[in-house]
Amino acid sequence: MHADLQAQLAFHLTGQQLAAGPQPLGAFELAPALLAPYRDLAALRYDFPLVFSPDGAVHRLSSVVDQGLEGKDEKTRKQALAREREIRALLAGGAGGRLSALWNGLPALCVDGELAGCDASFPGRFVAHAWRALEEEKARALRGRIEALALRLGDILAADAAQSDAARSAQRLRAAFAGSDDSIDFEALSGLLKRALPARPLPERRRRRIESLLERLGAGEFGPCEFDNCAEALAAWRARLPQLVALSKAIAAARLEAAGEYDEARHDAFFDSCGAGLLAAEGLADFPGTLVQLDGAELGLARNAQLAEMLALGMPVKVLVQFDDILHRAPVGRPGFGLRSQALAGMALGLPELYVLQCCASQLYELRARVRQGLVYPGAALFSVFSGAGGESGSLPAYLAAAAAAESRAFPAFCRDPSAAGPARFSLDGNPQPGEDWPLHELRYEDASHQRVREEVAFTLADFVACDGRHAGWFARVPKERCNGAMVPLRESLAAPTGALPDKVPCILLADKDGVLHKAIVAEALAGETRRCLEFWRGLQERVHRPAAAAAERETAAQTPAPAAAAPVAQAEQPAPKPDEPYIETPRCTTCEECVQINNRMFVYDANKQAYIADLGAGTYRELVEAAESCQVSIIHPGKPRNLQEPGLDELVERAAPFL
Amino acid sequence: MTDTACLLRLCEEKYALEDYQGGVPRWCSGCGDNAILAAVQRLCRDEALRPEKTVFVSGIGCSSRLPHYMRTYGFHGIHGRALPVAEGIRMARPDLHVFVNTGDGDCCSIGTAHWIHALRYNMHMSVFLHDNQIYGLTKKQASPTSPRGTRSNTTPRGAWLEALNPLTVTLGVQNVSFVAQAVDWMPDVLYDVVRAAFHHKGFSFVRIIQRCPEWLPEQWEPFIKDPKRILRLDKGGHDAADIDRAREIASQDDPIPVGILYRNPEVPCYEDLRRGPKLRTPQLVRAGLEAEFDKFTVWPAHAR
Repeated sequence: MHADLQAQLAFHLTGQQLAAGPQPLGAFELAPALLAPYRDLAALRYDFPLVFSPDGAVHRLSSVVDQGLEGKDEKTRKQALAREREIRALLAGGAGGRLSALWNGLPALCVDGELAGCDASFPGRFVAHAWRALEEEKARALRGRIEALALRLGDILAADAAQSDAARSAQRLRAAFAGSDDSIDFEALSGLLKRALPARPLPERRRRRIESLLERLGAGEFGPCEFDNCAEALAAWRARLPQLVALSKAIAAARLEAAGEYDEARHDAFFDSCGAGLLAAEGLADFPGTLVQLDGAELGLARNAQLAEMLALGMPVKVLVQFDDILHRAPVGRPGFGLRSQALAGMALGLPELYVLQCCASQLYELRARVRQGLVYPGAALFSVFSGAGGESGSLPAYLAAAAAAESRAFPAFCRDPSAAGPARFSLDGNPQPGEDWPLHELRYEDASHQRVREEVAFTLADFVACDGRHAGWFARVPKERCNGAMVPLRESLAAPTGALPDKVPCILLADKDGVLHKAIVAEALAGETRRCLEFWRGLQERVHRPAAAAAERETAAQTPAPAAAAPVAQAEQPAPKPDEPYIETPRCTTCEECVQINNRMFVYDANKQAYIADLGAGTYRELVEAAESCQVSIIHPGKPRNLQEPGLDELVERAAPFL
Repeated sequence: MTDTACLLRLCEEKYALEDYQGGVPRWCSGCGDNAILAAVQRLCRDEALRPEKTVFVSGIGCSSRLPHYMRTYGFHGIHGRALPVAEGIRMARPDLHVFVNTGDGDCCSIGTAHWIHALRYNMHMSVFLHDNQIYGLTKKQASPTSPRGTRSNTTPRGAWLEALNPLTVTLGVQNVSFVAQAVDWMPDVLYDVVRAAFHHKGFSFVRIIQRCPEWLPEQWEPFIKDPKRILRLDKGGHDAADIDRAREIASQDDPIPVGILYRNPEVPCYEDLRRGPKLRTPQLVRAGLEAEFDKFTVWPAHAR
């Protein structure tokens, strides 16, 4: 074996550098070749920064500027775009604030709000911004419903008061007239009204019930709803639940009362016995919800258990778990990249009623409709987001780190919506090329002889790991003169069967700060981690394809004739009609009254008002045949005559023949 | 289901078909109106509609006798005016379930203007057009939907004009939100369509092709005998959101399409647009009345 290849294989298998082997990499010396064009993010017009407008909407700054520039001249356009670049640079440097404070006034923008870059605080701000807007809307709607109910209950009491003797006293009547008018005898008017409309006061029990309901409808303060740990959120929820149940019952009773449908004999007992157990998450969806923001790094066994309990309880809670670093190594054993986020995803997917959205911070804007869907979902929802702001990615912006995690399947986006039906229930929207193992991109570069070269390159987990300075030791650069045919792209190496001693060396393409391309060998430990990442991704892909496959199987089963053994069971459930016995195809009956008018004891309607033969002995064979002839949809089958003594049988049998 | 709807459902009453039966129908035996009556009674029972919260409105004709046979509120209106009456009910009593039963003469002739504008207003109600293609109550006169050549007392040499197609007319009006067709001799399809219409938020228009055994006994025989001449839209993968395709399907009369042709739940309802967010508190009502009265008040000299 060639000495170079031997040294390269040795590094690949052991991860140890040999003196004469490939060159070790320094931290942040090289970065994935596909990321090279995006290093100067501030110069690019991409999704960030975002503008959080007060109405709960989120806009891209570039879209807001484009909208403001419609119909403007070239000079204004250049100035505005330059200002946009400055704002982007300011935010990358850690600045913040409202758009109107940073924008210099030209052209006027139709949207204003807090600016947000893609940093460690972004996922929390994004979800909380949308959640608060929805909560306000929900609270407004609830308040409106309660006020309308209270008004109607108040009207009942007011109407009762207006009919009372006190309301028709001479003094009140006089006060009701604007100004003094001596021409009216209010005493006489009062007497007249009292005689003409005797007071019919509300029953005392109903009056007390309405007053009590009005009091209960007024109590609607539920305390804080945002938390940063599960224990406090759970405790607050348990403390708040009795209030919610009481208010829910009060609204239900008030609705009945306002509609005049409250029946003491029935509803008193019902509302007395009705407790929290009867209220599902859907029943509480209109009341104030709970938002919990958690740090993924702090999720341990105990906190995981609390989180699982909270999500499984059925409380309408929205949980954001933010991961800042998914490339820290496990203390022992294999690297275990993203173990916590994968464990969380596994737990979440095991809870069938839970809405789950996992994605990177860079995708949150693109997936905003899914975030909103999770927030309005009546049950619990979990948002698992990788911010890209942790780890050791040197000068790589958090946005690029998050985008690289999404691109490399290290933190794939997926969404499971329990309220959706069929294939829409589980989605991989937001992932690049979701049907492929790895996203493939065309890399264009100039070779040593200044020729333009195009190459299709996959972005794998190893490329994402190459962004992190802590893991530079797993890569070794091979000088051009020592490259050989045994060096293959990592994606090809992963496709080869495992187990045998390798004769190929997996490598990836990296670029230095000057944009010069290098090939770097990947150590087996990292290649193994990449393989496990691919398996996790394939597991997600299977979830997408599984419903379609199940539907195809069901269709095949429906088309396949039932096995012979199953036939007697089917016959037992719905016996095949015998040609000699009279019967009606009841489900096809159109209730046309023909048969029941011929004999309403023999032909009777069922609970759906469709005819069947109730009593054969209640009529003659002639009536059966006449009914069959008059039935316009021909669903009455008269069978053979039972009474062979019936007159005119020969003729009747002949007439019945077409309906047998 | 929202807030207390869960709770209220738990204490809802159960109903039987008999709870909605209001009398013995006087329709001819074999009449398709019987099938429609049975379908709406089943719907009321299955949806547990409170009889006192349900109203059936009709115009004039055989079909319009239906409210008499329902043990709910009913309004047997004047010819062609079922829809405006129903719209008034919807505005004044948004808590009621409103159904309209009208015939091909009632809706498509004297009531056409109301029909067109009711579609445009898209107020929340279920409208069932009983289309037997003839005036039956007045003993056989051609209606707008009578096919060309139909011999009747007003067209003894056969109807001269092409029949009006209620489906294509409906699908041509702005704000149309639900259009379906059923035939009375397929009770399962009829029930499914009636149920879907009830659940649609907005003006759901269902044309129900029905037999008239007295005046046009042979009209639908070929279709009843040959199931291939019925096109089941629920079996054919028709996309009810596609209005262009719905119009194409609506134009064909053989095979007869049955099922939901078009459905758009996003069209706003007029009553929702008109109902403001402000609560009509006693103070608001009083202020409004005062303002109106002040326009006509003659103030005594000393009060100025």
